[in-house]
Amino acid sequence: MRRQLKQNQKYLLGFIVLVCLYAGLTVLLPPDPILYSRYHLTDAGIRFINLSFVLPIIGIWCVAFYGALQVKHYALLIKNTADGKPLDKLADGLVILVSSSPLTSSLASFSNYIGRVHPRFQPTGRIISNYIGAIVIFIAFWLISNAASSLSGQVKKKSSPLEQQYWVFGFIVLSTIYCFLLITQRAPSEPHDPYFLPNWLLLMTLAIPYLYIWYRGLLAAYNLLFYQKKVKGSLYKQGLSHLAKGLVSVIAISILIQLLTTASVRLNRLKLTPILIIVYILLILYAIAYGYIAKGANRLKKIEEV
Amino acid sequence: MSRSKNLFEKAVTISEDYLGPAAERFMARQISTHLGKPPDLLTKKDLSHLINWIKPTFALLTDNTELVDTFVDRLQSLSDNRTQSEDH
Repeated sequence: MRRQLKQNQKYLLGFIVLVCLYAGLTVLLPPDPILYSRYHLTDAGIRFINLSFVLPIIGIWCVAFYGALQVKHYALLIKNTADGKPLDKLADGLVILVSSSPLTSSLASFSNYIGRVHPRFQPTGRIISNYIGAIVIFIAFWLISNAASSLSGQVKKKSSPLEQQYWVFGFIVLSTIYCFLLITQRAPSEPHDPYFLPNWLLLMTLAIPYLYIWYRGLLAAYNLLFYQKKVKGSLYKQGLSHLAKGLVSVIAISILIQLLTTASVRLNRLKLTPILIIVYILLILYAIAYGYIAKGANRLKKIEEV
Repeated sequence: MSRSKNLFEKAVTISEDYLGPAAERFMARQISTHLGKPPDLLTKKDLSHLINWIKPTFALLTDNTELVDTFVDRLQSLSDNRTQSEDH
C-alpha cells in the first residue's frame, strides 16, 4: 500500500514537472515573429493570449490528471481482486495518456523555438517530437487496451459477430479518412508542415503505427463498453458506466486531435478566433470526459469504502 | 458450518444484483466490521442485526429508496425462509 502511494506521488511529481516545463516554455520563450504580422498583435498581446491559453489548459490537464488518479486510487482499494489488476493497468495507461499532453506540447514548443533560432534543425526537431508523441500514446493505449481486454474477459458472455463487424467497418472508414487527410492536407514545402517526412516514410513510420494505436484504443473502448454492459450489479454498473463513457470519449478525443493535426497546415491559415474556438472545444470535451472518469471512479470507490 | 457459509453466499448472490463484482467484498466488510466475525460464520440470527447496519450503509450508495428497501427485503427473506423469487 505504501509502495503504491509512493508510486502515485511519483506520478504526481512527474506530472507537475511536465506542466511547469510546458508553462515555462510557452510563457518565457519569445513568440513566433510570424504571429505579429498574421494576427496584428504586439509582443505583449501574444504573451497575454499565450497566458490566457496556458492557464485553462493547465486547469483542464489537472482535472484530467485528477480523474486518472481517482481510477488509480480505486484500483489500489481492490488491488487483490480479479478486476483490481486490470484497473490498475488501465489507470497507469490513463496517467501516461494525460501526461503525454504536457510532454508533447512542451516538445512542440521547444522544437518550434529551435526551428526559429536554427531553421536547419526545424525538421529534425519536429520529426523527433512526432515520434516521441507516438511512442508515449502507444504505451498508454497499449496499457488501456490490455486492461480492457482483461476486464471484458471476466464476463462470460461473448460479443456478437455483427457488433464486431460494425467496429471493424468503423475502423476501416477512420483509417481511410486519416490516410487521405495525411497525404492530401500536408504541404511538405511549407515550414508549418507537421511531419517533414516523405509520404512513403510518413505512411510507414507514423500512419501505420498511429492506426495500430487507434485500433488498440478502439478495441479498448469496445471492450470497456462490452464489460460495462454485461457485468452484474445495478449500482456498480452506474459507476462503471461513467468510467467507460469517459474513457471512450478520451480515446475518441485523442484520435480526433491526431486527425486535426493532419490538417494543421490548413488550420494555421485560419484566423485566431476559429483556431481558439476549436482548441477550447476540444479542451472542454477533454475535461468533461475526464470529469466522467473521476465521477465513475469516485462512485466505485464509495462502494469499497462504506 | 457449511450452512453458515451458504447463508453468506446467498447474501452475496443477492448483493451481486446491485454491487456486481464488489458484492462479496461489501458483504464480507459489513459482517467483519459490524458483527466482528468471519463472513463464513454468518448465521440467520445475525441477519437482522446485520441488516440494521447494511440499510443505512447501502443508502449512502444510492438515492433510490425503493432499491434500498428491495435489497433489504431480499436479505431479510434469507432469515424468513422465504424464497428470493417471492420477494424479488
